[in-house]
Amino acid sequence: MAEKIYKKIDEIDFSMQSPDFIKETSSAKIVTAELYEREGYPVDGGLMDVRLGVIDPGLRCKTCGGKLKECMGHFGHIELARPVIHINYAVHAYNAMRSTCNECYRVKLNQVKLDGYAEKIKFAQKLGDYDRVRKLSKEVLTKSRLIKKCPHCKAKQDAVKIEKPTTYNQGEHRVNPIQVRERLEKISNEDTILLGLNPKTSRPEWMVMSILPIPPVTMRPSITLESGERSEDDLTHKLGDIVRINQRLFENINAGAPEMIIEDLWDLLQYHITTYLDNSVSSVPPARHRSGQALKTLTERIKSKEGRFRNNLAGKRVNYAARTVISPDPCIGFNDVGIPESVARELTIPERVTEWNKEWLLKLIKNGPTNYPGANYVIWPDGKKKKITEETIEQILEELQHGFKVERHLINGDQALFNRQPSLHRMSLMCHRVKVLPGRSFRMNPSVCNPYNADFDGDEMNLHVPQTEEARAEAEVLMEVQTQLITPKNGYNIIGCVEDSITGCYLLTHTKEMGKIEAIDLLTSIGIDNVKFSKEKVSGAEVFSTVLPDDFNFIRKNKHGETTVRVKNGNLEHGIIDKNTIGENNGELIREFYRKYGQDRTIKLLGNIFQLGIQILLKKGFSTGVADTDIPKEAVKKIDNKVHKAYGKLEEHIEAFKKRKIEVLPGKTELETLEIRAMEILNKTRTEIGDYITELVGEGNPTLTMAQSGAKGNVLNFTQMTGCIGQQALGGKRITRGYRGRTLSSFKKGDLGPEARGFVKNTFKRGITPTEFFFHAMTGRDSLMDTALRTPKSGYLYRRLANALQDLKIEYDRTVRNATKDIIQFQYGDDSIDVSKSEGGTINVVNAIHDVLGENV
Amino acid sequence: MAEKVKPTTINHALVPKQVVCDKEEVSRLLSKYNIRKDQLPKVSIKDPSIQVLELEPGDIIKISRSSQTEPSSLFYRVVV
Repeated sequence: MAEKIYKKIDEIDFSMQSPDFIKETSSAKIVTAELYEREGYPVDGGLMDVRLGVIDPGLRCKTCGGKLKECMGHFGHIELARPVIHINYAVHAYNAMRSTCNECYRVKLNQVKLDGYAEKIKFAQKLGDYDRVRKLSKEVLTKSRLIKKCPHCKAKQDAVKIEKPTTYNQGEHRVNPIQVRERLEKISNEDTILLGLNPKTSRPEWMVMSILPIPPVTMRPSITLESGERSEDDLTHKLGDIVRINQRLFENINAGAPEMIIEDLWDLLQYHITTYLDNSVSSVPPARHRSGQALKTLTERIKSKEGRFRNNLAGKRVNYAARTVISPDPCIGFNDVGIPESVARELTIPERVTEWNKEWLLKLIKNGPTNYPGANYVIWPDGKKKKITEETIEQILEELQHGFKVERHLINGDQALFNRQPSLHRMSLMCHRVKVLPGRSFRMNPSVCNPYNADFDGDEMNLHVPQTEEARAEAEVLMEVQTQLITPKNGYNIIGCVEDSITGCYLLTHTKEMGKIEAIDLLTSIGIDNVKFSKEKVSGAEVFSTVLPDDFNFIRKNKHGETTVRVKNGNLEHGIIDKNTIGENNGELIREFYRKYGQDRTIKLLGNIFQLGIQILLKKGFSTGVADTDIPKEAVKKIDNKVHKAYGKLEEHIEAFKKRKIEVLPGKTELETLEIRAMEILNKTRTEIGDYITELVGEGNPTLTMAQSGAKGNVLNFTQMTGCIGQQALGGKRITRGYRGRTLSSFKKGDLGPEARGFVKNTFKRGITPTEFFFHAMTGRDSLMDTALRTPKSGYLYRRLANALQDLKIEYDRTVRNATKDIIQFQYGDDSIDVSKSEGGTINVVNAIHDVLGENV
Repeated sequence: MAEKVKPTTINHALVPKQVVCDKEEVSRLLSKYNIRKDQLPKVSIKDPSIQVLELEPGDIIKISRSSQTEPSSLFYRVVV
């Protein structure tokens, strides 16, 4: 397959184009702005000359004889009636003129200095240190340009001024391009080097153009509109203007027209050539279409986001891809992706016809492109590709043989790459198995939202179908969902149970007793049907244990060293399953699975646990509502008392402060101390209220259950709905902004009480007072602004980091090196720890020992 | 004109210890990592923290410093 490489580029030299080179490579001299004759055939010597290449089918190129697509086009040229400054070299020509004498054309430095610089530049060039060369020639330019008397011929020098973009003046007089060219011509080769140019490849006078290359027509093809009219490319339009003005200038010069008219035409020619090269020069009004739209000329084709580099080379559009809205489906596996039939009909996989699949493929071809599952194209061994239609189907069915390829529709089980932008880490593009489903959206298991950072508020995702066996194998081995369970960021699992499944498992392991039938029914619904219970009543832990492997051992300890969860020989002996064991990001049970059984088995076990959790909620029924936050009247009173107690305590402090008797904290003023005390008291009160409510409501409250299992929300959210919203803080302090000495005009000046400083004692359910509402809105707006400003900033920061670090890798000697093998770090992370095999950056030594000794926990 | 101040060692928790490598150490270092001098991390000759060592371009300094992950680790820089 691979073509032989017979020429290799090892050096590229960027230089100016010489007029001789332009003439040499030109295959046609363009003399007229006309494009086509009356019959529609290109005019000889016109801009669409057939010698410049062909864009019409049927025509042959007059230069190389090639047909459309065979001939890649040839350059032409026009001779300019008067020379014109090249806009991109205008500054350089200006620098060259400023630094040279206007009579003897030498660089205005004495011979000793010139020799010195020449020596230095030669030396730097020999070393290949082009930064140094650039620096030196820049020094020559800055030192020589302000000299008012030539050190060689002693001539007085008037300063040359540039009038943007392309006009030069010296003293009172204008220096026209002819004179510019003459002056640049007379600069010696030795001096050219000092100015920073290589005279062998770039003579300074080439910065003024006397001849203009015309790009081949293949570079600026015209398009035929529906009406049969031809619409020319922007470049052709611009070149037409140039040729037209150039011809008029010729005629006027030959006819001996007055200097005024010639100058005007000359300026116009300069304008046209400037905009032809770059239509976004700041001081030149951009050339426009008749519709008023600016023309896209040479520079615009290359530059910026829509230019050749960023749009066509760095990023390309691809085939075999689809994009649509995503929606959740907890009933499909983690590595499944639900695909609408309409998408499956459009995306295809080329399948080679063999002895074993011929019949099946014939059936698909018979179904055609409209009936799913079918096929869209058939490819002959010689590369001919035919669409399956009613006309062609007969012939295809007859001719189909081994070695043909059939582009068949996607079917269940095919590999597909699933991606969500911004693709910030490797988990943003994972391989899923296709599952064709009704509907029009991509379906995914809610557990894989986390790696993609997706939600279902209208997010869209992309799907790509690998087309070769190699690509599919690679996708499966390197990037299928189960290979990405552990994130390289910290070694924690990025995929785990979410929301309902956590709540479900939490409730299950809380269940002391359930009927045998009920338990078996539950397990059957997730596909486990080989379980036997000897007792009539089983506990939730026993039911949960059935999804665990028999040889599984696991102990989880909390911060204080107490065992919270214990699994022995596949039996959950003690503890509750919650977010810390099966959740995403540091679900320790999942990590233990992964360590012990590897990725494929882990994803299966995790899938079972996930389904189990959901089924429990389905069977049991689980919902949350406003009634969750109902508490008895006495409780409300008690909470009120707590708040008032805190008020009283704070009042004491305020009194002490006013009498200047407050106990000052080290390094703080009295007021600061008071504020800190106030925050302490009020925040403590809210925590107390939270604890009180948690105790009061007890088990069985769905909202609290979700908070405690870690599925969604936290106790603070519940407290704010039920007991007390609490102190509103701006920048970690109580609210002090607003009017002079007070936050709102409804308070007395100097009021330091809780209510005047943003304490909200009401709850979301009960409703809050206008002043409380205002304070709450203040903190709300503050955090909103914070996120709104931080997101794009941190996104851009990350992008720059990722781009700067993209070529760094860890070598075998554990050094971090870049693409040129420069050392960035002598030992990766100073400790050589592979973070993806660690737990939050540190190695679990106990586990490592057990792994080596083969012992169980 | 101001008198030239003689450089002194900067004693500060955030300035790591820096020593000049002798010839033998340099060749050992370069062969250990199989690199040329210019592939090492660089430090400017004007860097205030190495003024006291009075170095020349091409000298290599050994820095022992601490980081988040390791209490002490070695690092080398070539003076440019």
